[in-house]
Amino acid sequence: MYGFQVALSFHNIVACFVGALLGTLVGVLPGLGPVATISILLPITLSMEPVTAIIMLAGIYYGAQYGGSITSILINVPGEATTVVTCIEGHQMALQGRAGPALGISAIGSFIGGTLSLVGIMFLAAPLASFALKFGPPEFTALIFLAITLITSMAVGSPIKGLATAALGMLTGVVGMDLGSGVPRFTFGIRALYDGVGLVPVIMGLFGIGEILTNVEEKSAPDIIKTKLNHIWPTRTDWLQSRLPILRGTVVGFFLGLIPGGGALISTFASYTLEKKISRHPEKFGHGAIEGLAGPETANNTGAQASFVPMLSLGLPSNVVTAILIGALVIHGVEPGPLMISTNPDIFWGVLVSMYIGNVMLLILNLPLIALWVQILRIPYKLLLPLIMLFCLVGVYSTNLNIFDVFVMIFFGIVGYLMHKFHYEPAPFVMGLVLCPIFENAFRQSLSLSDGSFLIFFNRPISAVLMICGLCLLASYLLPWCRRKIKVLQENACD
Amino acid sequence: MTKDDRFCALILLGIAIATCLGSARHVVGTFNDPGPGFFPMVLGIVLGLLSFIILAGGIVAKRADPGQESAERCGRGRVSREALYVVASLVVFGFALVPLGYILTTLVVFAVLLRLVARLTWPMVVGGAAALALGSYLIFVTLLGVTLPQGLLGF
Repeated sequence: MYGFQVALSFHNIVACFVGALLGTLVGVLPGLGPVATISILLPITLSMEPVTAIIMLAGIYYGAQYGGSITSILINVPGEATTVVTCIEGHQMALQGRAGPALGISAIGSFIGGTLSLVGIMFLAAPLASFALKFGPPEFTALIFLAITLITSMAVGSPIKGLATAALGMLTGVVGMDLGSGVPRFTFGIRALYDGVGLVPVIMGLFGIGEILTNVEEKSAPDIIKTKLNHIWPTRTDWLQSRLPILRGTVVGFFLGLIPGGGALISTFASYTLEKKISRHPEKFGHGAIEGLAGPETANNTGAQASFVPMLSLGLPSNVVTAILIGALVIHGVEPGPLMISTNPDIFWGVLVSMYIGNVMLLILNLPLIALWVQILRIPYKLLLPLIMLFCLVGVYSTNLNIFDVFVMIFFGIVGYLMHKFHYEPAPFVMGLVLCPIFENAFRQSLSLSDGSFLIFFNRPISAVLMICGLCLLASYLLPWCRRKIKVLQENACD
Repeated sequence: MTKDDRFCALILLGIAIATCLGSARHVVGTFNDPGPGFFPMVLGIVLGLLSFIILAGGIVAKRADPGQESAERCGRGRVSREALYVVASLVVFGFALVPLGYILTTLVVFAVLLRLVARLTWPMVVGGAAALALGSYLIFVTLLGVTLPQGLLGF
């Protein structure tokens, strides 16, 4: 109830509304997914109160996700991996002239999923908070280790490359004054680097500028379906068909979202696979089955919402978006961690409830506005590009009024572009950067505690379980990889 | 892919070695009393190991199928002219912003960008850049109260 009080205060409602609206607007723009949207819009929230800023960023996040659903359904361009499934079924529905119900059911499914997961989180928060209090440095080291192995195992392409990217991100996080000794590290005598490499220029570079550079090379213009959008409300049969998938999507999304490294992405795929498996008409999947849209869209939203729980209760990001949000909290001077539910209950409950309210807003706001979003989709990318660029430039400069940040952004823009070219994912990089200070601190403290023995990570039950999970995961993709390579060599030797 | 892998692995290896050397200049400390150079050293070693794995993978793949190499290398590594224009205009913007001021810099840089990347006609370029510079100034400075460099012309 306290959360409703916080979230329903006037300026927080406005922040939520503006965030959801802006998020949808930018998310609809071709070629910009939710992560790019948050990165580009991050600077405008920095002058606000922490609660309001995070509420707005969360609004931007699910707004952008909804925007992504719109582009997926209408032009078959997934803004991000999470909407790939939406493309499969939703675009088929649109081709059959049912774009309206497709958009409608994704909004309604998200809303229902959001409502139910909020109830779930309410029951979970108290035990989770007391559990989190048992965490000491070794547990945090183990947890972050597990989170990084999880996130890299989900990286597109090779997990080894994902690990390398995460290590690079951590290295970037090392730059600046060492917290323990006050010694500046890797600053190359540049005074602006003493405070470390700023998160805002890095993510705006990697996702904003990097995306621009990648998109400017791809010349094809997407086709938008010309379809009548006058009936958005799903029909009675649609309802009956999507009722259970929405409920199952909620359950799947909720539990997968709670796991570090989980969140929206695996939830959508898991839900889609589940729906296809238990459907009586699996042959309809891929040809516009509404079950295959309703389930994953719900799971997507629920998973995103549930992934805020590890972020707000442990200070542990489970995906890039929550990593960026943690970075934003740190910029606002809020220490995310196990104490957050007790020290900053306004943030914890306010944000969760605001996500719920945001879903209601999306529902009322977007159904009538879809026609407008479709118009925005028609803006050619070459005209959008200067606007996005200017927004990035002004945004990054105005955060600290420091021209150095602009160059940091350009540098990481090039890095992001090259990463894309060479099939390295930027997501683990951001995770590494954000987690670096927490990880280094926890790691060094653990070693000091144990007098230099690594056994400390295995002597304590919680950290041992986490560490072993992480190591198993690591082995699960390193060993098959080695075996494959050895096989290739052996075959080659035989030839 | 394999050539790319080897190329990236070498770059990563270079970064890893540089990191280790850089960390060695600080107090690395011991396991029971880690110093400021300790964590970067660990990271450097981990990154070095990973780059070795990627490098080995690339070499194995090359041995397995040397013919595949030449077929796939062309085109992928090329950077398009548009991307270079975008980077160049960003860099120019960065250098010019403080001395020239926001409006002038935006006008010039985005005029070039609209011409070279968006390929608009000259009247559209001039109009577009002017609208962009003045419009964004109104929104950011007048409406949102963002501080932007004034430059030599005073705006």
